[in-house]
Amino acid sequence: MTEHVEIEELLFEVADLREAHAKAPAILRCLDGAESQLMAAMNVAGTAACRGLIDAALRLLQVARPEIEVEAAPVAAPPPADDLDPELLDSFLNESIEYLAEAESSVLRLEADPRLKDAIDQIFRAFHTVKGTAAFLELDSITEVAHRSENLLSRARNGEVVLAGGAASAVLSAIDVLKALVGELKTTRCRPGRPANLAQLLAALDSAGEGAVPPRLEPAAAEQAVAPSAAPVAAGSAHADGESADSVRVRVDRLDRLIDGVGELVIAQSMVAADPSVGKEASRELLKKVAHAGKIVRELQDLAMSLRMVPLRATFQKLARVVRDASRKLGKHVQFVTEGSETEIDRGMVDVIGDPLVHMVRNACDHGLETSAQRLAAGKSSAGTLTVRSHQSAESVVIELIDDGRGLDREKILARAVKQELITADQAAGLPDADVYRMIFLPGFSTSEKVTDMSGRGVGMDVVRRAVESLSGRIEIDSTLGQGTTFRIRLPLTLAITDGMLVRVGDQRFIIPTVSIAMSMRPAPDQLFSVGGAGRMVAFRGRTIPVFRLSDLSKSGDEPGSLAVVLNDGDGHTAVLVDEILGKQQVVTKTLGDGIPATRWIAGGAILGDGRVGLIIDPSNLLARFRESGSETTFLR
Amino acid sequence: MQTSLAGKYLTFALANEEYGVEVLKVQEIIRLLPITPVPEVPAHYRGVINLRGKILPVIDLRTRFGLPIGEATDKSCIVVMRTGGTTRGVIVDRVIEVMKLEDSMIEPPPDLCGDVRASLLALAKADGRIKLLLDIDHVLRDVAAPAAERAAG
Repeated sequence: MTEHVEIEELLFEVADLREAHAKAPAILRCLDGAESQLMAAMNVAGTAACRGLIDAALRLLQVARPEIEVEAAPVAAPPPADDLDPELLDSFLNESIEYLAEAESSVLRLEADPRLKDAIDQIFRAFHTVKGTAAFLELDSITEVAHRSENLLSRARNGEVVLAGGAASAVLSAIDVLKALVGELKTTRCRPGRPANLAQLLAALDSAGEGAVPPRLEPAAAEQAVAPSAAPVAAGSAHADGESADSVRVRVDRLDRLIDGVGELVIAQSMVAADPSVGKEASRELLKKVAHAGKIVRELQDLAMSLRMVPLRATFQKLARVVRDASRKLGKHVQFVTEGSETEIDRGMVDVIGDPLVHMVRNACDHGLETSAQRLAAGKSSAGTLTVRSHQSAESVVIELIDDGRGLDREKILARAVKQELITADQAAGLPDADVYRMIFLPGFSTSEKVTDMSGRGVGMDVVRRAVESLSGRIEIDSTLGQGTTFRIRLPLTLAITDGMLVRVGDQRFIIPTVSIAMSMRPAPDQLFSVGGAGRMVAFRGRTIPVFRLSDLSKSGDEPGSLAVVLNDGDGHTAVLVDEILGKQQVVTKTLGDGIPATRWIAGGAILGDGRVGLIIDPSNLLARFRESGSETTFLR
Repeated sequence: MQTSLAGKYLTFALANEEYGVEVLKVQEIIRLLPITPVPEVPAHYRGVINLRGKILPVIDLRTRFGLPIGEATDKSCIVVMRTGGTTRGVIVDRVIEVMKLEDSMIEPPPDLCGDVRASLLALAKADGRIKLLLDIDHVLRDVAAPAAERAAG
């Protein structure tokens, strides 16, 4: 039984290392592997088999142990020599390189078939986007080339010029010049000067297409057109999608089918692994093979999931623009800082989270940050700082919005809440700060005294909260009066897969998303008590929190449940009693479809290891449901 | 009832009655799989099943029609039907056969009122027995109806 002690210690180590290496997917995969070996070792009968699995786990653990840390230090980008914003500059560089490559292949496509309207549009968009950002960064020569090219493209769009021969060459030369300028910018991180042949190029762009339009492409011109770049040559004929050399565009539905398929594979594999005949002493070889297959399947799953991920960079860039516009409009000086824009989130989440972030950023500029005069009077620097920061932890993506403004005013919020009869003055006095701050998420709640052009017009923080919750995420607030406010949004890594805790209530199983679980515990009888005979409370971290029984809603068991899963839904901690915790599990989220009326607190279903359907709980709606049905006393604190 | 109802029907037994649905609406027939109940939905929704990796809601027609609740037997099965773009399973006691019904075998439904009338397309006489031809679109679409009526009453 000494093995069991060892396994438990190693499992703890895995958990610690996971925290330490939250940003290193390769190491996390090793840890996953080690963990599954250890879990198998825990369940396997026979010391020899157990030992073998532990050793396998140890080998995997070696990779992650600090003494031979393999994590490479991030390559520091050379600091910009002048006032260029490094974040913006990086995104501009990446974006431009991509757009220019696209434009180039589109020109080539267009030369092969001048009727391709969408190719002209694509080139136009590319120049237009490059021009926009370049103008914002005051990159004059790039702006000028892009602008003149855009003019030519605009004429081509109107049918005045056919983009072939000389005109196409001019566009391609423009692309080459832009590429060179962008390349120079990338290495020197200084605004490039005017290239020597700029005037010549601009003249060529302006005069292109004048005179007779060549009906057919001359071979010489075609050669010249293709010559400047080697990579996208093939794009001229076969690749109609205009992809660049190292990326492929894939239809979203195919991607989703692939991810679904991999999800099924994961389930099928875990069904094999859970088969009783695999765990037998006689089948050690089989166990090894199954574990090996499991490792491959998990790697495949990670890979498939990563296909859905996109960096937050574009979202953050949009915010930079919002801050710029808002601060000019408000006459405030705001310094906008982004950190961790390379953090990736599920493609499906980007759109949902984008607008709420814009709203929060506007709010922060408008209400959070003071005017320069107010700041100076308070002994702060005249410019406010707004930071958007993102990082990925083991199970979630965290996006923080931090301002160094006036902070949330507890008294003001409470006064408002009492006025709107949300709470009584007596209740207000005892409320912890966190509960007070959360009131700003209530529908129709606004503390702003004046309605301005950008906020206070009904689209409140409740919309933000709903958006976050619709993604199974949650939002928290930290604030210090006079020093600033931090909004912290926690989102699951992906929408397709839910990291969940599988619980049993009577004969039913439910999956509770791990992101909402604060902890689980087995309350001792003296920790559980009732208030006024009706509401039940449990002591939790020095406070009492309401307790509800899942069996009251699921009707799947008579027992009250002996295990408490403490959920945090942004409205505070609440314990939910279940009969048993069956373990952690990643499940592929599936909709129950429109063939059955929606139960508000069921987010969907998942196929469990035994092939049956388990229901996934929507924690915030579950708690809302409990609060509606629960007696008044459960609200006391 | 101008259009002809003649055609192929899947007939099945429910309590002591025989019903028929247009065969075109039937996707497949599967054995009774383990059903996961869904909380807080009307009683005739028995829950959801895993149909080859897809989640499929299952309706108990006995409960839907207010017939006595029956025990599942080895003849019980789930008829998967597609109506109005939505796929659902329907639990029946026993599938009888696919039969071709001629116009001469079909009669208009008797004068009844309410949901029962709306659920029926017609009656058919075959093999000396009456078969109730179901308007399965209505039966499955208006599934919230019994609960709504209860609430209203």
